[in-house]
Amino acid sequence: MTPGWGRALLRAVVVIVSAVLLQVTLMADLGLLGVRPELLLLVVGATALVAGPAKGCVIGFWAGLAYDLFLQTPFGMVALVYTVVGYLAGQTRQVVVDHHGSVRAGLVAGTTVVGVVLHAGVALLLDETAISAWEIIRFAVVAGFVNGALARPAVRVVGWAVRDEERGVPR
Amino acid sequence: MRSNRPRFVFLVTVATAVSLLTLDFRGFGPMRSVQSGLRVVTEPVADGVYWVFSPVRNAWNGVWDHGDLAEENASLRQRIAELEENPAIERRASEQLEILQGQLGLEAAATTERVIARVVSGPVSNLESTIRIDRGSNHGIRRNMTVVTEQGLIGRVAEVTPTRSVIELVDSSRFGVTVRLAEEPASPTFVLVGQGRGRPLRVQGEVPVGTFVNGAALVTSGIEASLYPPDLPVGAVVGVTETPPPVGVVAAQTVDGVEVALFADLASLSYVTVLLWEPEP
Repeated sequence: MTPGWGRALLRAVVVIVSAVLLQVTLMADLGLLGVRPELLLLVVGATALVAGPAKGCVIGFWAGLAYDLFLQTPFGMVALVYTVVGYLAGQTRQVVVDHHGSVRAGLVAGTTVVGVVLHAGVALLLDETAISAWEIIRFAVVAGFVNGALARPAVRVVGWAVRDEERGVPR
Repeated sequence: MRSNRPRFVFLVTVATAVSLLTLDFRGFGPMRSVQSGLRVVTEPVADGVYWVFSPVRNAWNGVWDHGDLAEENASLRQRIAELEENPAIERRASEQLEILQGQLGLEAAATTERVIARVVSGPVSNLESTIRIDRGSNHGIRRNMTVVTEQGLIGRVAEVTPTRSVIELVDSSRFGVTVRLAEEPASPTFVLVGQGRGRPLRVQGEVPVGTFVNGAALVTSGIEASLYPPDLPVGAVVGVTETPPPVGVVAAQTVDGVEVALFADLASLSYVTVLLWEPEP
């Protein structure tokens, strides 16, 4: 364990709890073209982008688990989906050389699209929703667009939360 | 050399998530208790955040919903014009209204104790068809109680905390209700299931041709062990698709695609009524 891990843990908890509370309160009534923004996928995507697959899947797991508390779907379903999404996004980050703003935005948007599709796919598989393919595409595109636009501030916030004390903000 | 740590962490977290999911599917008691305990703890915080961001939410919805309201207004005007042009439809609508007004005064729905609640938020996820209300177990609400508006059935109580409840709406794919034809108290019963947010409900299974006609009103059956009181208006048949007849048979014998539009408008719920009614054990 590195020195200052307790503070790093606290910062990560603050970011996850804030994101979950905003998602279940503000975002519940804040639709864009009838689609609720996916704030937690923004956090997971940004974490994977900033800190890689290991932290991406851990933050994905805890963010999903916190979200599961407020959903009617089986407990652990979103945690599983976001874990996979965080890991995949982190792996993608490792093969992408260019980390400029637009590339980051594209990666976060792509992570969101994959996350929404995967979430809907698992929910359909478990018979927890009856959403059509067209609706899934609509949700994924709109949520991806919103998260892509919010990628820059999200990367800064998440960078603060998951940085290693001795190394500073990861790039 | 690439580190194996990310893969190890990934496998451990996936295994943990799958274990939690399995425990939930098996109805593991302690986990459910922890889950509802955490919900109760986080509720006041979520309420506070909700209250703080009310102005933002209102401003946003004012900007984005303006177009929807104009569209809805135009569509209603067009509907009124259609009804005025067609006396047969108008007559049918009046007949239905009379039937339903009669039904509304009946038995359980009229005599049951009720709690009126304000809708505090919509679904928290794009995949859910739920609403949250500002009344909970402190007000006598229990899981699976029926929720209605003056137009008819809208859902059931899915989750209760002391001061809040989550209502699963009737168009949710996890929702099913036994119904009968409003005009024929002795008619057979059918199971009506949700098909997802914003879509009409569907009668489960095949039914004989001629059982349903477009416009036929359906009410809750109130059969034994049903979760819902009898005679609550649910919706009207809006589409009947005949099953293709077997080879050699000229006419269809059954229909398998009966779609039902709800009487209640789930898109604009402000206040709802929870019936403090539970089926007899």
